[in-house]
Amino acid sequence: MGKLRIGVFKFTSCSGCQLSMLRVNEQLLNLLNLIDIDYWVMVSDVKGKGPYDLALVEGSVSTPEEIGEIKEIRSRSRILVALGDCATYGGLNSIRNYMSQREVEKLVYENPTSIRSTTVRPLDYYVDVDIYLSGCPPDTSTIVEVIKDVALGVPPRLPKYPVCVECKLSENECLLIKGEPCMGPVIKAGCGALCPNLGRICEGCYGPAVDPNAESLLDKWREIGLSEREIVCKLRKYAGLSKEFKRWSGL
Amino acid sequence: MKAFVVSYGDLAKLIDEAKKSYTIYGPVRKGGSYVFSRVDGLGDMELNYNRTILPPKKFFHLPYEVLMKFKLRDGFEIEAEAKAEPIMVFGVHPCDLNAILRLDEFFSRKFEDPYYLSRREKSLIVVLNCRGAKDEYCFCASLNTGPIAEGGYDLALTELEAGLFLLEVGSPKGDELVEKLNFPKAEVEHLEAKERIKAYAKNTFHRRADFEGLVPAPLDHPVWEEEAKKCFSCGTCSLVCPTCYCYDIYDEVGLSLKEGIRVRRLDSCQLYEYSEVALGGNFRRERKARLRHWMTCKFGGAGGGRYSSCVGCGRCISLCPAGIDITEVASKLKEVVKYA
Amino acid sequence: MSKRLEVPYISRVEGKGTLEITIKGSEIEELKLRIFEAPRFIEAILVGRPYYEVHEITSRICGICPVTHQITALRAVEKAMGVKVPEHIRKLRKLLAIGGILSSHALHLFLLALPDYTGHPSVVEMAKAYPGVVKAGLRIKEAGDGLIELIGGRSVHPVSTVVGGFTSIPTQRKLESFKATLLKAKEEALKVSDFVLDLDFPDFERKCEHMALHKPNEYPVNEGRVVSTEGLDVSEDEYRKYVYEVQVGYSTAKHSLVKGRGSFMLGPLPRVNLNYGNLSDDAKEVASRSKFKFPCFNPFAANVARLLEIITLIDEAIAIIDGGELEGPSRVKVEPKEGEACALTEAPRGLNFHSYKFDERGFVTYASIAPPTCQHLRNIELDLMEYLKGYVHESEKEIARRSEMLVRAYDPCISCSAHFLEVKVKKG
Ligand code: SF4
Ligand code: SF4
Ligand code: SF4
Ligand code: SF4
Ligand code: SF4
Repeated sequence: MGKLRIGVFKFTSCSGCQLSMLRVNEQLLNLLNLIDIDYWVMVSDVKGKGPYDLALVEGSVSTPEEIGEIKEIRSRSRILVALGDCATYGGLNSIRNYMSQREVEKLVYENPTSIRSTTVRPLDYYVDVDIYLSGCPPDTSTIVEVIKDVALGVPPRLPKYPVCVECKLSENECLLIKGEPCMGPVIKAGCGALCPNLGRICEGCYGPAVDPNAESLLDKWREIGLSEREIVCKLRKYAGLSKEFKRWSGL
Repeated sequence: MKAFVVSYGDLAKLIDEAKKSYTIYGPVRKGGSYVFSRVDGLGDMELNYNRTILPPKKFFHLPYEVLMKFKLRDGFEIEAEAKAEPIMVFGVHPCDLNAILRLDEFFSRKFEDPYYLSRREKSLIVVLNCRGAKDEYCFCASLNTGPIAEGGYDLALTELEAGLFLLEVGSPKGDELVEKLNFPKAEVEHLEAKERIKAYAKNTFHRRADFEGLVPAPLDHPVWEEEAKKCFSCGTCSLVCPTCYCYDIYDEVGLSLKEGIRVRRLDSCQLYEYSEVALGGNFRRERKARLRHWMTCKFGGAGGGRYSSCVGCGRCISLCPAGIDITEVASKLKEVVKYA
Repeated sequence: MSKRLEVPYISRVEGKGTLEITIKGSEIEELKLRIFEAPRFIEAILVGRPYYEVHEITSRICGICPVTHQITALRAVEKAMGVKVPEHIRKLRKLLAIGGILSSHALHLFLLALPDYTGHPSVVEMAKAYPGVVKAGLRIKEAGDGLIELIGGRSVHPVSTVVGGFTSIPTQRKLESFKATLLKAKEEALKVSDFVLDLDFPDFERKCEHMALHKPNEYPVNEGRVVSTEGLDVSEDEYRKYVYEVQVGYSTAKHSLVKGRGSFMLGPLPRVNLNYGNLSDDAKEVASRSKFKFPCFNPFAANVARLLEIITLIDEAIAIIDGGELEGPSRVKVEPKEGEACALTEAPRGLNFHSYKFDERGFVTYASIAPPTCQHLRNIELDLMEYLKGYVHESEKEIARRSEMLVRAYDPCISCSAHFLEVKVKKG
């Protein structure tokens, strides 16, 4: 089996997903037996033009230039992975879609005319995505799993079920039952219930689970005493643009 | 059957003796809840616990286990071994014991599961009988799975009065352990005291369940729709259920792509993926169908309707984040069944 | 006629940007560091969000130094809400921040900057020539990541941090057992110190104002007074009176200037220059073997400063763990209220300034964030102007290489400022 020629690309993002990938640390050298880095600006001066067996794309699309770039990368990639929430759902960046663009720019820059940005979109608004690797950021070992699966030519096994599954298997006391607005029941597992394990409610950073019952959770949150404004904030954080949460995130 | 009367101090001795051959697990506090966890001695345990989050099935039917290792050379090389360490699970409630007995039966049907059975074989179970319902969620009494165990244990304890226990021996393995300890033999009065506790304990349950005649359950009863509106399909109820045994098997491949492991992981019929089949098919796509399936299984579907596979431990009710209650659903279904 | 040199993206910096240099004869006519990464409007998206989400959102400013953005935000929010956290929380936060700096410094120094000096296009090739050095770097990074995970749960965007403390804190026993990893990392750092000290650092000095936090008895990370080599000595609350921001047309990053003076440098080198006395003994010993004498104004010395900080901060982390008294309530209660406050901390790359206002229910009404890269962008430009003077007759490729190297020495984290780098040289 030949090595996978990979490209890692950054769009509108925080680099956290790339960092999660680099979190392999000492395993990096083993991983290099599996992949050839053809393009990864953060790590290498080599700026290969592909074609890539595997393109890992971090970040959402938010400028006219980026629209062209993602199409270009798609055309040069066999398998394209949306790496992280920004790429999969628009991520945290998408919060600004709920404000007017001028208003957003004025809040940050005195003279916004030199700033060019458009509405924040996930990658699949513009191109086909083969694998969605959600999480803000996705877990290091899951990224490695996906690379292995692509090398093997098998579809990756990514959970669709909610965080509660991992939470219960870790034998945590349920925070929702205790009256805290945990999002676990509607959020995709994969993090190992990281937050509830540490006594923190799930804030939803892995995006919606399959067929989430958000309506029921919203009822629970209201019972607990969350205001409508807080509820909207929660749903508009990592995956407000997703088809699962769109109805409640208010756009 | 042999029986002894033992003090709290004697129990500590029992555990010290057991430590020579077993790793000891018992109920310990976790926040406001309890879990079975490794303990050093009696002092670490909370014997007055209501229920643990995961039942003792986690020791035998593991939430995650490696079934085999494999290597790809010129063909396959497989290394599979059902390895088990001797463990003592101390303080198991009768409902949970009965659940283990059901799992024993399931895993030794036509296909014997060597992984499960070897772990069971190496284990020693010390039951702690309940002197009454532990809280409003318990309902073993109506299913005859508690509050006092009728056998199937290695050792069983009943607290006769504060600090004084009746210790009953239920298996040669249990016998072997207590033999050396020279505990005082129980007298008739002690056995009678236990009977009195039993008679009393049975009447302390406010929650009742009657699952008879619910298999097959009415499929289009409105209660399914109502409950599905609340349900998150989070799987909690079945993961924490001491008798739910469904699992999934898959491979994890190492970085060399030349070796890997085969994994078994606890699954749940409440999860969407559970009923997924090739080409995007799913025969229980609707939440309602999944919830109904799970409950029907508990009503006795899995036992072919002959007996309920629920032992009344109350976990699914007390841990459901949506507040769904299997006993309530059953009674709503019953009303219709009665009229029908 | 002028000539324009262009290098597409400066790689091995964490982001995108371009550098445009116009050379006329032997003069550098113009030099513009242009950030073209898509702006993320973090300050705007904070407006209207509840106080307890601020650090969770600011974390996503940068995946390389999320810890610093969390702690700075948490401190500002707590100040605004009138909350004081107990000493053990303060110490745990320092450990968390130390983890962040170790991880970031190791990443930068060993994976991104060193290939410049060994002449490799990336760490991948460098690892073949110097496997020991790369492994040492990865091990130090592992220690940093591990420390963040131990306290915050996850190395990129930690989760257990909350306003008022943590949702849960590690036991003293767990912290103790992490010491072995820290000691191992320090051993590695000391082992590679000769390699780092002997690198062929360019001879270049430009005196400019260096600014950093300072504390009398500890290496400053999460708090301190702002001091500079030009005599500045103010509290974080007075910071904005002395340092102001300007937007430049050609970049999405805003520059910062000191009132009455101009641009300044932040980060490991200024920190070492201004806190030399608080370096640990082993770090001082390493410093004494360096060809740089501190205070030092060669921007390339930042790489040595990173090594000194790695050693000092591991020593401090061990001292904090050894000092004990790290257990206690994991958090204090916080009631939202109207208010405003700012906080300054030392991010791996230098001073990080956050300032917020809240309404009476604790929702953000105003947010302003000045991460380090942004603050000293102007200084990088001035350094480049000066440094490249000696190389105007070199090939474009060489000019580009040298510029990238200098820019990388600053370790600009472009995700946070906005972002980095393509070099265009106009020559004529
Ligand atoms: S998904 Fe999260 S970690 Fe990844 S780039 Fe976006 S903000 Fe950063
Ligand atoms: S704490 Fe959250 S994730 Fe865990 S079971 Fe409860 S709702 Fe689910
Ligand atoms: S528990 Fe929720 S917020 Fe926490 S890491 Fe997992 S998905 Fe993200
Ligand atoms: S625990 Fe409750 S919410 Fe979760 S799947 Fe079971 S019934 Fe539904
Ligand atoms: S169905 Fe519920 S009450 Fe019955 S055994 Fe399972 S978890 Fe316990």
